[in-house]
Amino acid sequence: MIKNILNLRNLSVLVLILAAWLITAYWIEPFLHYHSQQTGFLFSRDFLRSYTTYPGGWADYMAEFISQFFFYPLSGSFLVVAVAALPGFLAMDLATGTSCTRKYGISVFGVILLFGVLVMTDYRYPYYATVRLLCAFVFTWVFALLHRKNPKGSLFIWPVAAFLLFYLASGPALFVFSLSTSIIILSSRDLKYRAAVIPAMLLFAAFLPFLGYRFLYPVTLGDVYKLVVVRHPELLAYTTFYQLYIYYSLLPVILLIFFFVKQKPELLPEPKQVTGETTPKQVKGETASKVAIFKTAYGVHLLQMVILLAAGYFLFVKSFDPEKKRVLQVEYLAENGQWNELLKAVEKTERYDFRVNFQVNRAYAHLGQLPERLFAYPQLLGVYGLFYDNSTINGSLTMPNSDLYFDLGLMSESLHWAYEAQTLMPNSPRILKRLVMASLVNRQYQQAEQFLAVLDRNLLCRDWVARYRPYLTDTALAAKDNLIAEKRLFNPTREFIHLDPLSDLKFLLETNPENRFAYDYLITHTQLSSNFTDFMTYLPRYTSFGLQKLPRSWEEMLAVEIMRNRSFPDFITPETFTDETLQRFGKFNAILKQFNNDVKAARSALQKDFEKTYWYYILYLDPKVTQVLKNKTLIR
Amino acid sequence: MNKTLLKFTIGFVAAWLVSCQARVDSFVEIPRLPLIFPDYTGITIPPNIAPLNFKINEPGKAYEVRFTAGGEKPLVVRSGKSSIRIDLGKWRQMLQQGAGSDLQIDVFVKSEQGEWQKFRSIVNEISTEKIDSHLAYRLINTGYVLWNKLGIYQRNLENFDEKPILENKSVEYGCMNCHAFSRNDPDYMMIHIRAIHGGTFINRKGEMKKVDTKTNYTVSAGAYPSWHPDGRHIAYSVNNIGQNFCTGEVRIEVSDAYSDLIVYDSQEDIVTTSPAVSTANRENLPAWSPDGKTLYFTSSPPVNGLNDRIHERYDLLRIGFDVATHAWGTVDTVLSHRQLGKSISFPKVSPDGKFLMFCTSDNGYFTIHHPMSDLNLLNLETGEYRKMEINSPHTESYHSFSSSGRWFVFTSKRLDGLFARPFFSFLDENGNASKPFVMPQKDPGFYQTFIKNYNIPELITGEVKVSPLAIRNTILGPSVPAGLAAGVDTAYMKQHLSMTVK
Repeated sequence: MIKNILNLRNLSVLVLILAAWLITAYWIEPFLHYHSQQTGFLFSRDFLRSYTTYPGGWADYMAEFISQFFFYPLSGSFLVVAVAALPGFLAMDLATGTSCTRKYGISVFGVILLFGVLVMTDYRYPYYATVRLLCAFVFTWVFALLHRKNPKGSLFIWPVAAFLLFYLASGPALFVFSLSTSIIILSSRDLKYRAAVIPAMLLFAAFLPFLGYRFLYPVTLGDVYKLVVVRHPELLAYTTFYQLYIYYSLLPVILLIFFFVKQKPELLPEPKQVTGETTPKQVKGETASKVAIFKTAYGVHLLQMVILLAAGYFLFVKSFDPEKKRVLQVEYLAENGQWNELLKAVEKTERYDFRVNFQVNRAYAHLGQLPERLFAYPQLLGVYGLFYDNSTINGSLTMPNSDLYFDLGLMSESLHWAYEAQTLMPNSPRILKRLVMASLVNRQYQQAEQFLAVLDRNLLCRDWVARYRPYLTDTALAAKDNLIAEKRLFNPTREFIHLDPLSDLKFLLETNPENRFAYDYLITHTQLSSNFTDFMTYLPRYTSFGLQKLPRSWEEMLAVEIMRNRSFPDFITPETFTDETLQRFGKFNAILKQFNNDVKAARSALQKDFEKTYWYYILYLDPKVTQVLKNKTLIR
Repeated sequence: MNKTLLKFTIGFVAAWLVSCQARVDSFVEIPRLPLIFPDYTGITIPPNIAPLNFKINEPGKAYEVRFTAGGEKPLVVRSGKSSIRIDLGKWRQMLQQGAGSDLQIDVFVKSEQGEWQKFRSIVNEISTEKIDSHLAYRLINTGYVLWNKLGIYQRNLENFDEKPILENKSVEYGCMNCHAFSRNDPDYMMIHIRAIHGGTFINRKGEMKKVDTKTNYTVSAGAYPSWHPDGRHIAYSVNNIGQNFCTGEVRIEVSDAYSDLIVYDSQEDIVTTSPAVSTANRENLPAWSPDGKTLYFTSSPPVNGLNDRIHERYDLLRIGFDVATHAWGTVDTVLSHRQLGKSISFPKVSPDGKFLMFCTSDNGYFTIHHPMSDLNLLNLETGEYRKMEINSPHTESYHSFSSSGRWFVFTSKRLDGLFARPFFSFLDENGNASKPFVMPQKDPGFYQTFIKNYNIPELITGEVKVSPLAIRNTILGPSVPAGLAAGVDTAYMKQHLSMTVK
């Protein structure tokens, strides 16, 4: 029977691990953590050294090492689950040692695994918090082993272990360790001096971080006491949420519960031999109640599994925000230039997001659809959906900015934003790759070499380095590279001060009138800012791009201009501008008139047929109308 | 495990064989200098500098380098790799014995065919003049607006030890810049902290405090500093600084809308200024003469619009100042930008008072982003000035003299055109500078993978002894507000501010 229970337990553990893997791989997808946090682990002495000078640094180093493998979707997910499961196994063993029962082991394992996965539902979650906690579990488990063998001797080892753990994994891990080991000591029947030892241990643990802060480590007090440290300027501003607090308190709480359970033997109907370390004699002794125990144990086990799975489902649904994930997916697809997939992913989004707005516009432009489909996505931020508002810029927006300027062919600005990004994430492969590419476009081969040398120390980038390193010695290769060659054609060299995106776009067109991407962005900029002067100045250039017919959104803005002036501009032919647009505009105005030009009242009537038009935008969505930029609620 | 052990053993034996091989006797002479990185050829070095480890950029399967100085037995380094790392103890001994003589470096490379090649000897000079033992600098990434981890460090130039003076992780990632010392003395130091826990940290022989040097009558807190030789007063510019990003040779222009000068008395915590240095012009970058009686500074006309602000040029001026009475003299133009056709910045007077070194660029004063920025030397006795021979096609910028004045350090981007590195050069009594060399590193390939900039290198005579913990505690504490010195014309300053600050 015991064998059955053990098998059942192992099977349950396997089921839980597989469930966790499934959830991690298909819902959470840790490669999005990699993408958003830009892990850049380097095999170099300097990189390691930078992690050794503060409490928790070693755990952070390990976390950086592990999390780089999140890059691989399946194996990364497995790694997340494996690291989350390890404390579960240790806790099961510790709980058994504290209560002398394995009856609730699956719950212990399941709860810890559950929270190990739950914390990953936030894509800004700093993975070091998991690794630091794992260190606390390992230290506690080792201490428990020593304590079982030599209770008094282990007390002398405790301060050394506490100090070492503090150095490896910082204050919160130390608190987990000290609370857990206190309960282990409390549950020991052999120790006579528990009352004196435990308060001393807890005091030591409470003050050690402070002493470390005061006399050893040039860090802040928050660094040694807080679970996570948010740096300034805020980049990946993770807000410590209840999952992480619970995750850190699980081990001491579990041990405490088991300690109390042990004090009330009536809660432990099983004989001691259920722990597994049974003797033939003990097994014989339980034969009398075989059926009853089997039923009880099986039932309890089943009940635990049901509760675990139900609680897991409930907590996961509560914690996981699929919309946030979709935004990251959109950014990930943009990073990889998967524009069609990006637009498909956007169809699934339910809320407006300024980052999605920005990437959708890029996707349209890359696919040559920007003028045709501009208003298919609500342009609630106006021109700030094209170019981020620099006054609200934060670290997360630096690379998208660099990407956009690279698209446009303006290397100085692409480099400017890439350097800003690199300041925040010095070893990010994505940023370093951009610096290499922009340097190659600029023919700055020495600089490209410098960044390639750093990338070469990243395990995941060696193939990429091998591809581009020959460009440094054989510069003809760079010239033959389509992307580099195109950007060189567009990249201006004349001296110019960047004041605003519109003047940058004009500068780009002045440099190369064939820069279609810049042209589309320029016209779109004039549309979104209702800048009719520049719109009418630059629109006639459409002929140089071989357009037979003006795209929809341009026609719509032009229709407004035609109606205002009561005349057609010279550059328009019947082929390029259709009457159908004027008719639609007439219909739009007619509906408006039906409501006596009451814009508010006409909204729902207009929305039906005209929501995705320039006309609807200027009346209802333009930030000048909505005033959304005043309180910046849309930019979070 | 066994494989690892085997690899280790083979590696060890190979290294041992290389190091124990017989001296190279037969070789083919190559009539040119070997290609080495960093370039340590034809330079003058201090007798107390750390080993000049370098990489030999010549293909080969074994390398031998012989260092000979002062007719002593050569120091031989053999390597199976092109990296040459010199033993610190032997190097020190060799430099001490060879001070004042040539250091000859013979490079031998064993070709793939097994034939040894000897390149033309590199001949360097070992000066008898020591360089100050430490260099303080800030290490920063190339970002312009945002910042993250940064710190001010000190490097022992006699070996490879680098220690933090202060890292911003200890002060909640605030920004820090403009560290300065009085007469190269590590016991007199100041550091500006920006954003979080802002203020100016001042250490005078272990007496530490954080000061807020902004007053109601000055445009900002102190920015660009210069310690008076008395170790008590610090001259600052007070600036309204902005940045503009550009396409072209200069990627970013840092410029001021307006700026003035102040002198801060760190003992009394008072600030003084004068209408003479708080004009509508943009007075900037103060630098004391070694006797402390004269304050050199740069000045540019007031601006009308962004174009002016960026493209105006600065002159070099000076004014007398009496620290005892806070009395200001009259302004005197030392060098006009019209004479040079360039803008002048970062004036620094040599400790003997004979020379004034300064940067020139096409416009403005923030030369680190100007590839055409060069170092110049003005002979204060004769008034002669010239562009120095040490310049490169890339940026040469911030410089500082050693306490003896015989050595100076400056930042240059000559290695790759992007990252600022500290270079040293010897300056003789006639103002002739030797070919500069980059600060030696333990790993000769260090600069090829190090993607931070060395910023504001300052030579100091010893280690900064106040601990990072003590500095942190002071910075995290409250600021002492600086008051205005009696005698400052407040009516004028009020009017000046109202006209300048728009």
